Amino acid sequence: MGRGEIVFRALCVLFFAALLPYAWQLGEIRRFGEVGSGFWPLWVLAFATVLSLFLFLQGLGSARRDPRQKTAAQPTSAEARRCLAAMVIVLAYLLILPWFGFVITTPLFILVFMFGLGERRVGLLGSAPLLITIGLFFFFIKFIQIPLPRGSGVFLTFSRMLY
Amino acid sequence: MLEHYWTALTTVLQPVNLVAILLGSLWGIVAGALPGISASMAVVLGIPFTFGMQPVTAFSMLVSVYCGAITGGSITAILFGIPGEPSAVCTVVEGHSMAKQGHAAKAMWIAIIASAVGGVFSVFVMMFATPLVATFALAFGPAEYFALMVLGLSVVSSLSGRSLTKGFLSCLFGLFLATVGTDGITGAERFTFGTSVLLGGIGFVIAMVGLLAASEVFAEAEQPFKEKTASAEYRGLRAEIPRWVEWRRHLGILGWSSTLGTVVGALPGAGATIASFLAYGEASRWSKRPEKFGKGAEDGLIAAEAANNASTGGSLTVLLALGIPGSNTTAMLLGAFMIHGLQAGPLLLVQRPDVVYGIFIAALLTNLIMILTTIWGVRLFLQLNRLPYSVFASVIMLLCVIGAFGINNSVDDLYVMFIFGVIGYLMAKFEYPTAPAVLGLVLGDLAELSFRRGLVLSQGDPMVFVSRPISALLLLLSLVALFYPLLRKRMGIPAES
Repeated sequence: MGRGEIVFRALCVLFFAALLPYAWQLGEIRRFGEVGSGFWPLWVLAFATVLSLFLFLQGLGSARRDPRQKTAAQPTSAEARRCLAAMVIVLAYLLILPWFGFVITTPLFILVFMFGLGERRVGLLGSAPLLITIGLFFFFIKFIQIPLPRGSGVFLTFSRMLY
Repeated sequence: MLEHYWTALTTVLQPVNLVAILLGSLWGIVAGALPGISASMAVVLGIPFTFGMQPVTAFSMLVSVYCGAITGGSITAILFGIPGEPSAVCTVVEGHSMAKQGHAAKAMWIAIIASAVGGVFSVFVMMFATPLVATFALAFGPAEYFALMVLGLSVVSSLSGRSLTKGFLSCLFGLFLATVGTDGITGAERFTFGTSVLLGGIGFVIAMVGLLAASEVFAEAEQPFKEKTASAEYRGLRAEIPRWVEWRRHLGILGWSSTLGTVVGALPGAGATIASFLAYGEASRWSKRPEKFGKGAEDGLIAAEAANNASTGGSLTVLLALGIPGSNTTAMLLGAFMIHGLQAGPLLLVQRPDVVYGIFIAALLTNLIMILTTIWGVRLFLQLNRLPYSVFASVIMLLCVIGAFGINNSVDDLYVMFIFGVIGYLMAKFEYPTAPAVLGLVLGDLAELSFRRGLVLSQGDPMVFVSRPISALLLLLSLVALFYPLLRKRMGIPAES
C-alpha cells in the first residue's frame, strides 16, 4: 500500500475524531423529552471514527506485510502534476471570477485549461474558448437567466452592458 | 384518476414540455454513449438547466435524461465495443460481436426496439403500481419514515463496490454532511464554525456536482493528451431494418426480460446493470442455442437492452411512491425534487398529482421518442466522438461551475463545489465509492428528523421502531438489503459497480 493512501486513511481518522468533541457539546442543546442536536451526529461520527481507524490499521498492517503491494492505483508524478495543474487552473478561475466576471474570465479559463490538458492546436485554442463562452452566455444568461458573476468596478460596468 | 392522466397528457403535450423531453433524451443519449459520463452524472449536469422551469417541465426533462442515458450506453457499446454505461456490458458482448460480423445496423435496431419495449412496459407497471404503493405508504408516521430511510440507506452495501467498509464510511461521511447547518428541531447551528456559508447546510447538488462530475474531470486530467477519434465504419441503419417475422421469435425473451428488469429496478441497490446481467443470464440459460452467446446472440442483446431500460420504470416507481432512491441516478433525481421544493414520496401523489402523472406521461413519451432520437444519436455520436477531450472537459467543468452557482446565485457555493471535487477525486483515487456519500447526504436529514420525531412521540422509547408492523418489516427488509451483496457474491452475480 502506498504512503499516500495511508496518509489519506490517517486524515480520515483525524477528521472524524476531531469533530467528536464538538458533537458531544451539541448534545447539551435539547428540548424537554428530546435527544438533542448532538445525538445523531455523535453516533455518525463515532461510527465513522471506528471504521476509519479500522481501515487505517488494516492499511498499516498490509503495508508492513508487503510494502510493495498497492490496493489503489497510485498516480505517477507526471499524472499527479497534470491533475494538480488542472485543479490550480480551476481554483484560480473560481477566485478571479467574482472580480472580473463570467464574460471576461471564461474564455481565458477555457484557453488555459485546454492548454493545461495538452491541447496545442492554435486554431482550436483560438476558436473554442470564444464559441463555448458565447454558447454558454446565450443559453444560461440570456435564455435561462442565471445571473452569473458580473465582476466589480470596470468589469461590472462592462458586464452590465451585456446582461 | 383518469382526469389526472388527461390533465397530465395535455400538459406534457405542450410545446415547451415536448422540447424539454426531446432535448433531455438527446442529452441523455449523448451522455450515456460517452464513456466517463454516467447516467447519474448526466442527470446532475442536467439539473442546472431546469432551474427556471416549472416542475412538470423540469422532471419531464430529467426523466428523459435518465431513460436516454441508459439507452445511449448501447450506441458506443455496439459501434466501438466501449460500454458508455456499466449496464451496457452485455450489449458489448453480443452487440459488438454482431457489429464485427458486419451487422452493426441490425444490432442497433435490436437495441433500439428492445430498449423501447422494455421502457414502455416498465412505465405501464409504474403507472399501475405507484398509486397503490403510495396509498399504502400514506399511513406512515415518523417511525415508518425512519425505517424507510434506513431501507434507502441500506442500498449502500450495493453501491460500495469492492470494499463494504469503505462504502459504509463514505455513507457515514454523507450522513455527517447532512447534519451541517441549522438543526431542524432545536434551531442550533451545527458544524458551521461561525461561517454563514454553511448555515443553510451543504447543498445536495453542489456536493453531487463536485463529487461526481468535477472529480471526474480532475481524474481525466491525469491522462496524457490524446486525440480521441472515432474508428467505426458504419453504413447506416436503413441497411438492416428488421422484419416482423424475425421479431416474433424473440417475443418471449422480450416480455420476460422486461418483467425481470422492472422488478430488479424496483429493488433498492440493484439497478440497470444487475437487471441486464440477470436477464442476459436467464436468456442464455433458456436459449435453444446457448453456444451462440458471446458470439453475437440476438437473444442476449434483446434481454440485456430490454432489462436495463425496464429497470428505469422500476426505480422510478419506488422513488415516486416511497421517496427511496433505488439507484445512484434516482438519488440525484431525489435531490432535484428537493431543489424544486418537492418531497418525493407518498404525499407527492396527493399534493402534486400533476407532477407525478406528468412524469408517467413524460416517461412514456420519452421511450417512444427515443426510437427516433437514438437513430439521430448514432449519427451525432460519430461526430461528437471526434471532439478533442480538452474541449469536452472544459465544457463539463463550466457546466459544474454554472450548476453550482445557479442554485443560490452564490460564489461561495463554487468553492464548496471545488472542495467536493477534490474530495471526490481523492475518494475515487483511493477507491472510496462516492455514491454512498451522496446517498447519505440526500437521505440523512429526513432520517435524523424522523428518528428524533419518532422518539418524541414515543416519549423516548426506542422500541417504537420495531413494535409497529410496517416499521419492523421495513427494518427487516433493510437487513436483507444490507446482506444482499454477500448473497449475490455466493450466487455468482456480478456487482453493480
